[in-house]
Amino acid sequence: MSVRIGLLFVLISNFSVAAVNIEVASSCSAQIRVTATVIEPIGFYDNSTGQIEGNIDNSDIAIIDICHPANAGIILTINNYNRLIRQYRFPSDAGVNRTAAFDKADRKPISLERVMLFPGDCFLQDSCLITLIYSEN
Amino acid sequence: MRKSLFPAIILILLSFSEEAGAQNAIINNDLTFGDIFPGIPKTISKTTPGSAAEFFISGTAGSEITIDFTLPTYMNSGGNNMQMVFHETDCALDSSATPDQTNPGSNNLDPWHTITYRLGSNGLTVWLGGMVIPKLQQKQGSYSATIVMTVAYTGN
Repeated sequence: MSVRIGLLFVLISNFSVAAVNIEVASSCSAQIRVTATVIEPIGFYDNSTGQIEGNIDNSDIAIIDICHPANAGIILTINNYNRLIRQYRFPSDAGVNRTAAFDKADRKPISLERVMLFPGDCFLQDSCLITLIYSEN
Repeated sequence: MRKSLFPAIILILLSFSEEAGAQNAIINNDLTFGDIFPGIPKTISKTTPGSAAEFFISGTAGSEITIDFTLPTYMNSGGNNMQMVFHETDCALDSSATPDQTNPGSNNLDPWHTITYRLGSNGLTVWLGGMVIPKLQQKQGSYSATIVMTVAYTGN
């Protein structure tokens, strides 16, 4: 009889331990990290404002150098006061493409591309607005 | 009476012991978007090795489990936020011996709702993709967020 009582005690003890183990093992959780790095447009060479204003007379050709992250597609738009004059899509439309130049500030690889702006691009206005936006990742 | 009680107790204890197998989730890969440009949304597919989130779940073979995600809606960098989107098809599972991320056994699962699956002898690999939507004037910086995945036995 005492053996049976002892066995029952052992079994009940195991039952309690097993119940606790079930609680511990029944669920678990894991944390996954999500990361991204936002890169700002580098803009026009030696001009971080992203805008260039200047006069182009009948004989001049304005040359604009653009630097941007090497792996980014960009669109350059040229507007006069009223409407869009011209739009370039890089790198496919680039006239002169010098890749893998280096930013003076932080030495990250960038692309340096060149656009030539002719007098007709400004429709004889005194100035035009040039903007640079990303087209793709 | 006592003789009939002992086998019953033993059977009850054995039935509990069978489900006491340990369960574990191992993170193999975080969800990594890499470089983001302002104004240009970027999607990481669940089938993209090295970029999609990947974790491995082990446990008692043949047991049914539930998988629940707590998904963020924004990533943060200091005081700046960047919107995140998880679509109803951004999760995939594979319990085969050689999990194939590009052609998983269970594809296009909804991470916003509880996913129920029966563990095989090879465990279970889970993949999760997502999309980030930076604003045009999104501030530069390193953004991060946390996804919590909870796995539980159903008892079935």
